[in-house]
Amino acid sequence: MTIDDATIERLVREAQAGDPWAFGQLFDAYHGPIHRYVASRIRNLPDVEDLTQAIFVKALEALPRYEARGVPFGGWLFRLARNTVIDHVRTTRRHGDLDEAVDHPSLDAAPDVAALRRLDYDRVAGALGALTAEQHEVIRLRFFAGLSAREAAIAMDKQEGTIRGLQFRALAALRRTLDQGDGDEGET
Amino acid sequence: MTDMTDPTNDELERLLSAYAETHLSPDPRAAEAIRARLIREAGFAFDAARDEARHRALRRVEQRARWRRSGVRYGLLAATFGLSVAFTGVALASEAGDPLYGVRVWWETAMLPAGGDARASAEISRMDARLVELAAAVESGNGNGAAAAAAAYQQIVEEALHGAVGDDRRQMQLEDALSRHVEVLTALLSKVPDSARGSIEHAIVESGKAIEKVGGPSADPNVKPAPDKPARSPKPDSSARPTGPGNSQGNPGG
Repeated sequence: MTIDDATIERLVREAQAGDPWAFGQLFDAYHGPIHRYVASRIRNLPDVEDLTQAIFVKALEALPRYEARGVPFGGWLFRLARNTVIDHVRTTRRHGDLDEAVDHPSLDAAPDVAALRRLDYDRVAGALGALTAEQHEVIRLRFFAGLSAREAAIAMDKQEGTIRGLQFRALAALRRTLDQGDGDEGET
Repeated sequence: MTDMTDPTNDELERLLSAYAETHLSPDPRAAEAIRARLIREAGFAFDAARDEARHRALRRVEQRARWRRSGVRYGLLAATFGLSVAFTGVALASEAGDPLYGVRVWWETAMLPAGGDARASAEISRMDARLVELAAAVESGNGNGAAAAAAAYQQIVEEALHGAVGDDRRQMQLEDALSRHVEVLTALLSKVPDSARGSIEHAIVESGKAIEKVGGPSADPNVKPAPDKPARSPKPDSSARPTGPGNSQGNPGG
């Protein structure tokens, strides 16, 4: 998030008071993280864009009921996003894992660097597939969407300490899998 | 959790963030299109919300006014009900000659069963009650009370007579009761204060007439006496009737 929490809360209040410009600023702040989170769970790009838009429409409708007391806006918005994605997955059964997610390869790197990165990413994607569902979700929220541990805790309806523990175990498991992969490659 | 600061973790976190940036980030043109649609939608939604808030405020004002009006209405209703209950209580406790005695008699009439034997029995009970009140008033020298009780008694006799027409059994019941009552009234006549004498004499005369009416053949020719109908009690002897000043000349049988 490039905007600090106080500014977010001010924009939320202005949007609640009926200022479309403030809502536009909130969209700018959260569209990228929301899109990345949805894209990490849904395979089809048009579905990702539709769901992302649907999440913001829902946020617009639910905004008058949002109260800042103890709940950061990011956590509230991502809880809404998470529920929307879960509903979508339940109804369509067209969900995909990270290794099937949308792909926008970076074009600004030199071809050989890009190829190396691509190799890393493929290994990361494969390693993510070995995580538990909750560990995977924490990785999505913390590193793909860029949420704080507190926001991720609110989104997942868990304690902040639980999120930190899940993150720790997820990273350890990823590292183990990646190290194991390195070893296998070394042997071959 | 000391391992959270592990440099290899930092590297892994950077790798994950970079992965998200390159693989999962939105297309800027698609984002722009979504943004435009949402801002338009937000404009509509906020306008609608403002309209709704205005309507809600209006509804609140109207509702408050309605509550105020209904509050006054319910207050008046409660006050009226309270007064009615108090008034009824006082009226039901009033004795013969009291200002609300007439209300009490009226209330009793209103509470009578709609018809049939129950009503006939209730009428006779009321006549008995009036006679008890009359006797009490006479004993205490309350001329007004005695007159009021006698007048109320007479009124009940008329009502009972009206209800018994055409019903032999009820007529017989009424005849028996009136005969007893005439005896009581006659006995009281000697003790009654002068102010109530006329009322009691009138009650005796009217009761006698009523006895004659119910003692005769049924007014309704279609009503036949029951086979096991008991024999009628004889008409009260006219010699048993009072011989008050207003009655002695008017009673040829005396």
